[in-house]
Amino acid sequence: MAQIRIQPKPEAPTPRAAVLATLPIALLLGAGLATTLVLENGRQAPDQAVTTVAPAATGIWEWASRTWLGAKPLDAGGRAWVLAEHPPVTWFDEYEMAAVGASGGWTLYANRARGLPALSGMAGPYDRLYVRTAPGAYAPLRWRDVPAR
Amino acid sequence: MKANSDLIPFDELSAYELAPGAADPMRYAVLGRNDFVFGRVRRLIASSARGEIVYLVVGTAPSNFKDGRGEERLVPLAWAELNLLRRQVRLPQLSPLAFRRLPIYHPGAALPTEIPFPTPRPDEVEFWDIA
Repeated sequence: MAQIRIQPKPEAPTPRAAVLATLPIALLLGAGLATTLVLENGRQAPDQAVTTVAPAATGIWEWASRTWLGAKPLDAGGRAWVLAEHPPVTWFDEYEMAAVGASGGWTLYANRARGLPALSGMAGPYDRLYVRTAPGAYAPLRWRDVPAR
Repeated sequence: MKANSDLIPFDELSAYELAPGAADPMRYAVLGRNDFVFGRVRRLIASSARGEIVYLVVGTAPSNFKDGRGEERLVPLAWAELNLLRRQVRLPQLSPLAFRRLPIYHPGAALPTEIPFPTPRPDEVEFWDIA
């Protein structure tokens, strides 16, 4: 004779998509609420936070630049940083220029706003690396083959 | 026949599902003695306490009955055999007259705890057949 069993439905798991969609929004809202509630001085608080974090961020950025350039010998293998055929750039903000290395007695600068200096030959006409020729003037460099001396 | 509030239409029992591998006889054809067509399964009545389907609600709209089409009667599932391949519920011991003596299903009304098998009375044609 026929018998048909029934059973309680298993507990429905929380849909993962819903969690993934909700979590970042909740985190953002929570962060905003925390900023509003915890930090003092009202709307000046975010500016203060940025000011506090800025030196650390600069340090991290310069360390990353040095590390990146340090991974590649600047004057090795018959290639070298040489002045590009380009007049010095004078429109950079001094604050944005960061010393990221040294080569042949020159201090190499990179422009923070333009990002980290690219590995040689990978990007940009001048590899985004400069030497300071005068206050406010930066001559772009190029990573090129040079004849053996 | 005592009423029982534990018996609930299975489609209203949202917290329950059929056990894995169990056949769902909804809309199966219901056949009686000599393959007389009683109708189709319209609803399942379940008991959450017993954890099983107890009654089938059989609608007689597509039946072989000349009269009384469209009524719905309760059939205990324990009397039935399921033919999954043909999507049939078979009740080889139940004659058309016996089926007509089963309780009518009224949606929302209290359901009987047990349904005795409708044995034919001595004044009925079926009894004469047996005798």
